[in-house]
Amino acid sequence: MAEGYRNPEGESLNYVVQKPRTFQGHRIVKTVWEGQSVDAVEGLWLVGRTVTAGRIEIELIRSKGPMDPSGAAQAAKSAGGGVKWIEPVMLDFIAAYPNDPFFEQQWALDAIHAQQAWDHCKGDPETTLLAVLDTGMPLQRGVISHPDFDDSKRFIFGRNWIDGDDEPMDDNGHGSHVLGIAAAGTDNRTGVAGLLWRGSVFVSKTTDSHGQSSAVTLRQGVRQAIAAAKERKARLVINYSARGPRSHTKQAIIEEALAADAVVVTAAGNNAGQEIDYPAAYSVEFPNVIAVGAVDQNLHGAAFSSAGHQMTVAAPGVDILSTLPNYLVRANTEGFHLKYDLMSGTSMAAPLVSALACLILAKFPHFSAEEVRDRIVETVHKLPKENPYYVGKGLIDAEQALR
Amino acid sequence: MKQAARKFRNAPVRSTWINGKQVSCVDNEVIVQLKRGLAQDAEAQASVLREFPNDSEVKQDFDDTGMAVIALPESANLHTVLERLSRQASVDYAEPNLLDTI
Repeated sequence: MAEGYRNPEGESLNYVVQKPRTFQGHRIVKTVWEGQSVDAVEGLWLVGRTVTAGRIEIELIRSKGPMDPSGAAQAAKSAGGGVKWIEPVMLDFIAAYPNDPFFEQQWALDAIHAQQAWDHCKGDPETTLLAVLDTGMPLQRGVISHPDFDDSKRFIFGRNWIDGDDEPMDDNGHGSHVLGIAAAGTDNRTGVAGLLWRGSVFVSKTTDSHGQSSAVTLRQGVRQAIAAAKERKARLVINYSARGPRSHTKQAIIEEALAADAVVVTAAGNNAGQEIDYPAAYSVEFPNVIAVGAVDQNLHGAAFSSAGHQMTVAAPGVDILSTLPNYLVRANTEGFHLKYDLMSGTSMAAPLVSALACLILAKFPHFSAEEVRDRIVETVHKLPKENPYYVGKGLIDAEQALR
Repeated sequence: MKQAARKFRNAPVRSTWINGKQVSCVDNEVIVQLKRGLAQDAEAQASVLREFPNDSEVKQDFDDTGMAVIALPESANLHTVLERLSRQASVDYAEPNLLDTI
């Protein structure tokens, strides 16, 4: 957490403030310093001057020149001799820190710089829609039953395509875990934080209690999500964590999503080094598809992941803490706890990418689906020692993607 | 070989081979897609339905894109029906309802 400036304009750490910002009475200006966009105090420079051998004194000086290297040269000239270095007075910001009690255990959010990213954007429930097509979410008698999904207004129920009703109730646990990684209540003093701090979420049950979905249920889920986004005039990001064979139907679904300018984020699969299945493998044929691999806490590619040239990027996917239903489901028969537990898989990595795609669209609403993917890829933290078949271009960096 | 133990939406799941790969699909369920421009063509729809054996069940009728899902009776041979459909001029493709897993 950086020490320094707190926005005097109010509580927002998001900097959507329209009037000029100031710091101790000085205007704050955006400038590029050593290749990075920074906030600087206009006209103020820090000068490092060698006083005696090995000792540098730092002095604050004023200048009237521009806040770029030519202004620095002018400032250095007026600073006199012995100048070792000179730089603008740049501002640090306090990173957003949610009050969710398990936040400290969410290594994944730290690894992708979520806190710093939230200072740039927390999401927009009006303009973006995240569709999670999975085994559903915690529901009892048709009502959201998990305390970490307490803001019921942000969730839109899609169909339960397995049972043929309108209650996408999770009877497996996988869908709830995926959903929590992306969109558990953040800063709600409960459990874990979701990366998508604010944002609307469409939940559709396309996958049954055994973790199976079909080309037909996937198609139905995607088409309903596209219709829901269209109705709300929102940009759509689809998260799908299942994998299977290539098919005409699956390809037609991706084409339909592309026509709707929707981003499709897919888990690469957990086939331990074997080839990446579909729809993830469509990442090399369609510009809106992102295939996501998993890394562990040491930022090594997860051995359980499928691998191949179709891998786009990686995100944390080992020992990820998230939500599980507060009633018994299939996951409990496999040893997982009620309400919260750790899970591993590329399914756990994908929702971090889909939530990031929503944050990017909230900040840059004019981006096409392809531009969202490009943004995620171009701002990764490179992992040069890792096999790109497992990690793609590298680890996503939410802060860099939202700058 | 049928795996009676596995089911998807109350229908049995079976393994089959497609393009040299073993895949899982909903037993005897066929997805058929009409060619572009024929989605709402009643004659094209009818001629496709005539290719299905008696007692087939329309699980999902032709939608706005010209796609339908039909369940074959237990006695029918999936691959024979798929082959017959692929010879139809109005059909873009016909394939089993393939399964994904998490």
